[in-house]
Amino acid sequence: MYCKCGKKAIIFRRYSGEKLCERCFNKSMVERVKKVIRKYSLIEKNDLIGVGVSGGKDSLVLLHILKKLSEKYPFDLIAITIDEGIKGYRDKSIRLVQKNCKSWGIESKIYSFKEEFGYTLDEIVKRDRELSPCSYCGVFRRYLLNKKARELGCDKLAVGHNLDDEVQTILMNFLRGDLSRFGRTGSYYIRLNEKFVPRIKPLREIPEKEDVIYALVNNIDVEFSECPYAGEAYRNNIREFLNKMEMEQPTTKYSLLRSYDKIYPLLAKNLTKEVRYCRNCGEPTIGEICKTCELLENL
Amino acid sequence: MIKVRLLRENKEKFIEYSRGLKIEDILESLGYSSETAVVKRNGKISIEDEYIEDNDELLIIPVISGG
Ligand SMILES: [Zn+2]
Ligand SMILES: [Zn+2]
Repeated sequence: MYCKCGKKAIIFRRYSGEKLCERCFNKSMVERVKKVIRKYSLIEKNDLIGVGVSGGKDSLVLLHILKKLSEKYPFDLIAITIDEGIKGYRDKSIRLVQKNCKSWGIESKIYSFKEEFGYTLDEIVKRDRELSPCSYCGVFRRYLLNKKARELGCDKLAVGHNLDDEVQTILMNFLRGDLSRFGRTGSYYIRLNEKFVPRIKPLREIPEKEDVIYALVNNIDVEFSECPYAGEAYRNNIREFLNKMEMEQPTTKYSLLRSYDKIYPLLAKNLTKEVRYCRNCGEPTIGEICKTCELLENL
Repeated sequence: MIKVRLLRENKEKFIEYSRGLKIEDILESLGYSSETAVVKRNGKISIEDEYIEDNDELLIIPVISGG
């Protein structure tokens, strides 16, 4: 199969029928990210964008594309990495983050669970065998990313969620009837409170597979192993289901995203709750005490 | 004979060559699909409906990783 430019194609996008060579694929990825940023005004002039970078393919691909765009448009980048303290896994990916940031000339900041909360994730897992490691990890990581992005003066916090991550979350929230989490997957951001740095997801229309291909094509050194805390079983089932449906009907994932995007503005108005400040740590929260402080108390 | 290296499983497999075999057939026989894996054929990223030739070497890169 050949690209429209005549070179050998490396990807066939079943959802659109396009066949692209390496060069045209690369161009198309940057264009698509640019389009999403424009469409939803995710980045404004002179913004400082904090990029949550784990060392996995998605966040490094995001950083690589944003770096390219920042050379043409007036905004700045800073990489923020959270070290959860997962021995044999995160230490490796942190070295990759540092290596890539150095070669791309991007400032890199690393903050650890241990320093901020007193425990590594490995230590937390040993202390609490009831809650899943992912429930601690997700809450703590979101808390720390927001706090540090704000302290660094970031206007936005960009995260590497791809199309697959997004549609999995959307379907999970639907199936669980969890409408309170719906606000997190929106296409555009809502400024809830001055202490919440708006989160943006420039890769939310990029299929996960294309992140892998982009990393390979651009020789981006990424961590290809998986987190030892296997992830949520429920999400894994949803992922399998969506991949199966996509094989049968190659626009399934995009259709789901589009449907959600149409509903989102109607929901968003009703989902904005009053934001208060945690009695314990002063961070913004919906309740009296933030989820992070609540979890820490139980440890 | 086709040599297949599976990155996620950290394994190597040999598959008997037969005419008309496509990359997607090999993926399927290994429990993958074009949604869940990227394939390098003789070192080059390749589309799933390409035909395999005898003595090809495939590398199966899983789509789920990192985070
Ligand atoms: Zn081309
Ligand atoms: Zn708190």
